[in-house]
Amino acid sequence: MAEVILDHVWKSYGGNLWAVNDFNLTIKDKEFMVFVGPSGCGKSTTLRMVAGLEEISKGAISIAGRVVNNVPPKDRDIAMVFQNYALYPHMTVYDNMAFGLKLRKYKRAEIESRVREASDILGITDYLHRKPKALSGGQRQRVAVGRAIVRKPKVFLFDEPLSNLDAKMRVQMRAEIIKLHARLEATMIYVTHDQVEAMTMGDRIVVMKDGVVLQVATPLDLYENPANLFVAGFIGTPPMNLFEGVIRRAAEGWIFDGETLQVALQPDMQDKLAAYAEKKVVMGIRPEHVGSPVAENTVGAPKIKARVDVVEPMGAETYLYMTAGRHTFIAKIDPHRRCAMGNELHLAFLNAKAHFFDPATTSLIV
Amino acid sequence: MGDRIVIMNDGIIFQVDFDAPRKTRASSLSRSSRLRMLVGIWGLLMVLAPLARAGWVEDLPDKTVIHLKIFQLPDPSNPDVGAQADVAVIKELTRRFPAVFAERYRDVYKRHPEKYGRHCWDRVELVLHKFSGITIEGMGMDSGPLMAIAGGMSPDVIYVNFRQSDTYIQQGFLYPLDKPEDKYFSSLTAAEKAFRIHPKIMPVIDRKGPDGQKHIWAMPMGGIHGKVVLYRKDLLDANNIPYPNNDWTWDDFFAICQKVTDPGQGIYATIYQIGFSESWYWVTYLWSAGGEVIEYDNARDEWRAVFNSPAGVQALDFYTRLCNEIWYDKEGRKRYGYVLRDSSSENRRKWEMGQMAFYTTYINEKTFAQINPDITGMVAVPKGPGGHRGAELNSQMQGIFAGVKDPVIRDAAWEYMRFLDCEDAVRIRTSIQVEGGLGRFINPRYLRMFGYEDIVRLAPKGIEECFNIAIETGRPEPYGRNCQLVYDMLTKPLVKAAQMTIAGTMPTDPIQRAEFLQSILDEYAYETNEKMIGRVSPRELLKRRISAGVVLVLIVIAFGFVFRNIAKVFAPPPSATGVPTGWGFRKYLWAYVILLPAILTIIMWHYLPLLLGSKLAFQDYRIMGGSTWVWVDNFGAVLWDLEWWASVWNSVRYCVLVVSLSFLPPVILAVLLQEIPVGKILFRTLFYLPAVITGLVVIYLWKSFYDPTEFGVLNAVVLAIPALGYIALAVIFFLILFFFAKRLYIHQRYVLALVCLAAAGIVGWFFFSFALPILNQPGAHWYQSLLKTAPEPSRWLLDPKTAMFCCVLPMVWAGMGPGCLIYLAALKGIADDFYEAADIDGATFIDKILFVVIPMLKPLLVIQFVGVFISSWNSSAFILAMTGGASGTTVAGLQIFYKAYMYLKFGPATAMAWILGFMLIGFTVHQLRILSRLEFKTTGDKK
Repeated sequence: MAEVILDHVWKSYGGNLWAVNDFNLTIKDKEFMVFVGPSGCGKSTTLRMVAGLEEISKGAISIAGRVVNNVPPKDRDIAMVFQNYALYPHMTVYDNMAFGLKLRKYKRAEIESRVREASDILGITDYLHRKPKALSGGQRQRVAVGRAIVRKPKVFLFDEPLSNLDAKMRVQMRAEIIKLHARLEATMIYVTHDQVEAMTMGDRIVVMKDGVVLQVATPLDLYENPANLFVAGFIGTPPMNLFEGVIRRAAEGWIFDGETLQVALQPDMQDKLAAYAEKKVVMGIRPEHVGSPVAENTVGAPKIKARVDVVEPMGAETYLYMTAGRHTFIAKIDPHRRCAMGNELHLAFLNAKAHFFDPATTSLIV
Repeated sequence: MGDRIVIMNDGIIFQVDFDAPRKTRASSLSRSSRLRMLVGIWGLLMVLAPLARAGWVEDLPDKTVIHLKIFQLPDPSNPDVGAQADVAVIKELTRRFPAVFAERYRDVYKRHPEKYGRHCWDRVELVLHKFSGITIEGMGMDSGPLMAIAGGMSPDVIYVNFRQSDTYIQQGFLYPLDKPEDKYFSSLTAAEKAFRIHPKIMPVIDRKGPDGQKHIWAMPMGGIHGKVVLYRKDLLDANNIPYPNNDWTWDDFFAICQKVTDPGQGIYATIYQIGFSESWYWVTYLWSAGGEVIEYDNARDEWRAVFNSPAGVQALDFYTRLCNEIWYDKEGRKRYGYVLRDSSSENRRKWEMGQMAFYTTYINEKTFAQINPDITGMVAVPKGPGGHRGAELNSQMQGIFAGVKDPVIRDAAWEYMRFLDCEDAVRIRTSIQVEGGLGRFINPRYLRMFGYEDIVRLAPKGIEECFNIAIETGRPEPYGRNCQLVYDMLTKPLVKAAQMTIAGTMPTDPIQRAEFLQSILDEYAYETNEKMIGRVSPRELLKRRISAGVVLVLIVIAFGFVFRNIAKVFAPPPSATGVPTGWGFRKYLWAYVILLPAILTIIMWHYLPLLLGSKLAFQDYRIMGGSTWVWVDNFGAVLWDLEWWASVWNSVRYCVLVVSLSFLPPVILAVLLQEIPVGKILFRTLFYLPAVITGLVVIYLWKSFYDPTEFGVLNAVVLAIPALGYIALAVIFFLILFFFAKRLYIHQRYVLALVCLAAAGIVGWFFFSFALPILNQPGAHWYQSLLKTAPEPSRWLLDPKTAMFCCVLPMVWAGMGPGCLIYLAALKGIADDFYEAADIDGATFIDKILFVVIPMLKPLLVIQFVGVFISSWNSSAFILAMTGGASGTTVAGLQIFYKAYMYLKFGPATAMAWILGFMLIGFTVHQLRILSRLEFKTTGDKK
């Protein structure tokens, strides 16, 4: 059981500035947990506190039921993969992988078999006697991962391990790490600023901003039910469309009035939004719910008239960058639907999928 | 040894050591490469020679001025009465000169314009200039003139001392003063000669020259100097010791020494400065025992060392007992001898503070030492066992430089020398000194002569008698062939006897002891004869020549190999197609033009002098010309010179110490400073501060730390730590290094682990060795001594066991900060990731140093290592200043330096330098390789 519990963890580098602000989370055994957020959000700091590379200012971290606040990194039974690999340049691949084992006084044969096993898994057996500088970026990253897995720790920590790789290699390594997780069945904590990585890899995702945890959820939950404006805008490619407007009672019922763009509200949302009558709100709707076949085929979905600014055919779908008065938004439409720049289109808004946020608190209303 | 002016006032002595050979002071010159410096200076002087000029004749519209360069002139701004008296004499000389010139020279000059030049001889004036030339700090009056002569910049009137006089004569530096055509010496009347030249000095100035004829070579200056002993009356009174009188003996002297010495209070009988010239103190005993240093064998026309006589044994025995006899003081501390043996000029301070009972000094014939008779008494040196007494006689002398070609200048030089000590000059001096209130210190003979009878009675009692005894029984300082070596050679048996006494291996039985001392003296007398006279058997010569030939061939091959290597490494790399690209002169024209001044400078100031100077290695080089080719003999002599190899061995020891002490500690310090959580800047500043202190200051600072009494800073610390403390230190250091070894072992670095373990043992033993003498005290079980402190102060610079270490330590201390800064900068370049990765891997602090820091710093470490290694072979300035090469610290560089500039053996010195260069060449090649690798490979690929 390698459950990692962060119990109201705070981190300050002096003064009243909190780099990590009341981080409270239980990472389940064998879970793949991703910390995501823009740079400076405290995700790496949190990871380093778990690793023991940073002091914990307040709160407690426990790994496998043991509070580790004062346990040095080497005794926490963790392994860490660094963004810059941190391979010792003067050691061969083999020595790099074996170093931690030697320090732990493993028998030579045991070291040998573990390094072999790890290198087989990662496909680096041929490079064991090379020095790191003779390896490509992807190979180096594999060695760095190999160095972590030979130790068979309870918890793996990844600190933006794929940032230094090119796009193609990143996708490949992403898949390998997922497979590795399935194979090793260890608890993994993975830090990234890339929401695609977060979505594709994590069992659960922690979205952080300015040291504060905004939402902890499974990728789909995060996607479908963002808890606030930031998560809504951060998760998803292209991001969610956000419109500012006012909730108003019109002749036909409650509407979202964005001046140049007006959308009728679904009846089940009206109760909650009634409280915001004549007040500003932010409406969020994902591109696939605007003008997509699903939206178009939904009976009663309101139609919005907008002008096409840019057409981005992606093959399986086409993205339209639209302008409706002072609002701009993205629509994901059927690639077979013909349209060109400058066209005026009537697009269906799947208002049942819309989210409403309070601009003052940024949190979700409904 | 030297001539010292001692001026005393109210018991305070101001001593001017103007003639101490290689006292311990630093020379910045000796830091650079020995070979380059040696030959470089010579080459430099050669280049500069035509630019400098000695005396010259200047035509002015209304008169002719003769300019004369003197090695030393009194300073008119010096308010000291003695200096003022000298200034007055010089003034009088220039005032009288036109008249003297008119009387003696004008007519001759006018008659022979082809010889004396076409000048207006009707109005002639003399202007004296003080010689300003290169002098090497601490080399006293011995080296300055030599360097000036070597460069052709000598003053017209040069200074000569006894021990160097033969070398000066044989090398042809001195112009004979008795040439019939000159009428110099012969113009002096018998009375004048008697007035100026003491009969005992006559043999020194009147001797055979290179032509085999006897000549007068120099004139004494300022009268004869005798050696006397001063004593502190207050110190003797305090111990209820009656004042010694002139009839006292060695035994009386020894008894007083025993009584008065109290090292616990810092009081000693006297101070004998160690160093090569220590035997200056011993010679007095040798003579007083009836012995002699060297003798001139008329039949064979050569000088011979005879100090291995029974008298020599007696003197050595007495001296060794006086300086090294083991005794225990009131507190039961073990003490050696009754004489403080110091490497620095502590004597003046000690004497002023009344912590020294006796003070051996010169007494000047004209002006006796100015002592305060209430505090200070004067007595002749004690009589030896045979009732003999033999103090040293000395005198400063001056001669005309043989390189003066213009007879006008030469004549002026003679007139200067002639007047300087004539009766009129002495009268002027005496009157000024009497007016200045120093009349009572003047030799009564002159007071009477010049009509100051009434002052005679004021003179401190007994001084005249004491002086007369000193002169009567005095012997001139050895002045024979190669006598500049004599103090060195005489010091060797003293050192050996001292070491054996301290080590406890000296026999106590008087007969055995005498035999033993005899054997020591025999050994060094033989060596002295060989060194000073240089007689080698034909068989030996053949052996030397063959070996020298072999070594020379090896040197040529080695240097050829190096130059080939350099050419290969720095040749332009071949282009991609494999075709050599050439130097690209046209393409990079401007680059080469800009490079040109640098290349020319290096060629001119480094390589040209190196090549030109290298021919010295094959010559019996004489500065004044007439060098003869001896081909490989210099190399042969050096190769079979045990002293040279001993100095090479010293260099090896020095190198090991420097590398191990000044190379690794900065790395460790840098890591510690990097890791320290608070006060980084403070600690960095603290460690860097010593570096801003000038080297010389560092040396004097540490010399005071090394004071061999318990009042020295270091001894105070060492004596405060109980045995248990040292054991703890030993254990701590052993454990630290042991853990390093253990970590290395875990990582299968077995050899390094073993080295580390050995280092642990050595360092542990080093600290434990401080505890040993405490634990080994007689009459107590070792466990009873655990809390006790050392029974005796350490004799840091005097003890051959610690001397070398003590020379290196200040260097480490001063070099730690700057050295560590370089590493700190490099450490900053190591990404934190590595440390963190190591942390997570489970590395300890030691592991991080061993497997992260050191491998990452490796390129820098290698460069630093080679740098430290090579410089450790070249730098000897610290040693020169610390010990002057005593106590087994003469490194090769120092040996070469002495050989060249103290003994004028430029040939062997150059040969030594080449041999040293040959031994270091491997490292040079290695260094070049690293340099080339760094330039072409390492850059641009950091990951």
